[in-house]
Amino acid sequence: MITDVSERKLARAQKQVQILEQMIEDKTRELFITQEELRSAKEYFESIIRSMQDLLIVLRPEGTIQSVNERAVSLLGYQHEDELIGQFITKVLNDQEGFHELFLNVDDLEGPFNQRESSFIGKAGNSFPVLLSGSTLRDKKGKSCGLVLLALDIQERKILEQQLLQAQKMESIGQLAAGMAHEINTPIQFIGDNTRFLQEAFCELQPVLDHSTTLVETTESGSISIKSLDGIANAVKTADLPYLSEEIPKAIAQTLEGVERVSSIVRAMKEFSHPGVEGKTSADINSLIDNTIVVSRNEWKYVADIKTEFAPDLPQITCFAGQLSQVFLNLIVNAAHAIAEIVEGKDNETGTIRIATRIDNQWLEISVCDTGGGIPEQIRDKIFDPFFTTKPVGTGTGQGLALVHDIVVEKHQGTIVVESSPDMGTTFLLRLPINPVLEDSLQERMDTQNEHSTAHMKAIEV
Amino acid sequence: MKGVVFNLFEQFISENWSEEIYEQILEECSLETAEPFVGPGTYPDADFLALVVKATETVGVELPVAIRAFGKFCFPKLAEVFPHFVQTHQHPKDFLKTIDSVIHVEVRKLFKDAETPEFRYEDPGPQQLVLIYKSPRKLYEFAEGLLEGVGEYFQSPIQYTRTVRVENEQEVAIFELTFSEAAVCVS
Ligand code: HEM
Repeated sequence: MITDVSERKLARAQKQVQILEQMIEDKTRELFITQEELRSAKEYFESIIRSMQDLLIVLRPEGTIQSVNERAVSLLGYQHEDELIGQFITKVLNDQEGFHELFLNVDDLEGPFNQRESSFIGKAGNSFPVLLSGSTLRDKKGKSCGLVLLALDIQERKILEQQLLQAQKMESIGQLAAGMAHEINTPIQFIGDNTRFLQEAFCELQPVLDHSTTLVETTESGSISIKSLDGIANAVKTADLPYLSEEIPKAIAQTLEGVERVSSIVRAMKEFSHPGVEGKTSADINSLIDNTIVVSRNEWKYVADIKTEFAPDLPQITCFAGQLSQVFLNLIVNAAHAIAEIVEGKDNETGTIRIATRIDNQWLEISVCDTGGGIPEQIRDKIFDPFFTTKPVGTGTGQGLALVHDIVVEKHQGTIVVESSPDMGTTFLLRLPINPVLEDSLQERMDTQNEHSTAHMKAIEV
Repeated sequence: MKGVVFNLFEQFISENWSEEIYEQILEECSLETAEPFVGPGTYPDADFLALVVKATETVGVELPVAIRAFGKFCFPKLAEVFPHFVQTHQHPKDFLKTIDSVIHVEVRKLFKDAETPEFRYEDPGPQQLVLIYKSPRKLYEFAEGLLEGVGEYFQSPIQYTRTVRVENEQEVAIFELTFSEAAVCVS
């Protein structure tokens, strides 16, 4: 039987206190170390975010800014993040459409929202282009609790892109130059012929003029001699005046017409190349198309006629005119090539390229139709891929339609529908928004867009 | 096994028999652990078993009976230490349903290295509950004792049957519980 129970219990209790104290000490140390680790992990992540070259903005579900990284603060032109925190994202995001897409769908934003071209507005009101990606921030239960926006500053890239577009335009001007030289050559030649004829005619008229001068002088001195009258009569006869008075005005008229043709070609070329105009300007689409038809005449005239049906009341639209000219050029040249493929080798057979413009609600519609052999079914969904080409190696870079797509869809928020069949040829239907996007009109546009696509069940939407 | 359980066992023996008997059991056991048990500590299961076996020998009770009694003894003590787990419920059924998803989760947060069993539930009727218990320790009687303790605590006796089956090469015990009609289940 154990007698010293209380003593043993006491001793045990003392030991327990000791052990517990030790445990508390250990726990406290552990806690301290964990806190240190947490702090340095936090600093580590913060330094990564700080050193990021991209703009990082975290939004609350209702769209206000919860946090921003330093890069975003400085690129947007602010001094301190506090100036942005709590603000609605539209203060800096200049992208109505992207904004809608982002926030109306926050909850069912399944995958990330990837690399959309958008722009931000800096504190000074300056706007700069970014590639915007977003993903939903979810809590442990999977409920969306915010949005992480990552934006890549693409100002540099935009400048390069602009230069590339310009370079591509210069390249096509280069390619057009030979055709243009030919186009100019014909009128220049008959201007030359006519001028030479006028030179000769003048030589023939010279004696008539000389004799007339003499006659005038002798008449003034009071004596008119038969001799001087004979002189004129002979000169008139040799010069064949009736012939000259019929032909000279004709030659002059033809010369002026030639000069007009040359100058219209030069004017079209000048307008087509739009040197120096970088931003969006107000432009008349009909005349852009007209110019393009003129400069590209040599590319299509042997295989096709161009028929235009322009809506007379088209409003001017704000656009990158030079880029759209490039679009029309690419479509016309493509149409000509498609026709060339089927008329090749058949004498005197040509096709038709029909270009029409019209207004449909909020949209300006441009259709370019050819009577070529159509686009084979199996490549229809590839035609807008960069570098995709059906032309023999060395003849096409494959950038033509990719560029069309980029300019219409990305740069102008337009759409392209392609309808094609072997017996009907191919129609490219471009739609450009008449008004730059306004918040209210957005939904309307989406709606007409939907009607439009259902109306073209068989068409490919791009 | 956590020190709390060892300490509860000391209380169990001391209160039902005597402090002397506990000292005797402790003295006669050869344990892996030399120092006294403290609540947050973790000790070998074998030490716990050795203590329980020695206790049954010393007081002359069968092992299953002893463990069940210990379980029944433990519940009100645990409820005393963690009143908020229990007080929020009117009916033992509601309470029992929270063991796996709330109580033992909190226990594991609080006690490092705690190894609590796994419970799954089936709900065949208002006055019934099936508890499927899975633990390598197979402390079926302990669980039964706790259930009895729960019934007593809520003043609504719980009847149970136990069947054992093998699931994925591991033994599980299925406790089919029936609650007394008197208690009104809110869930
Ligand atoms: C306030 C309520 C409860 C608390 C605070 C609690 C806490 C604990 C603790 C601390 C352990 C020891 C774990 C370890 O040593 O690693 C344990 C084990 C255990 N608990 Fe609970 N428990 C509660 C209610 C219940 C109830 C109602 C049951 C019902 C059947 C139960 C069944 C068990 C069993 C069977 C074990 C033994 C370990 C095993 O089987 O592996 N517990 N519990």
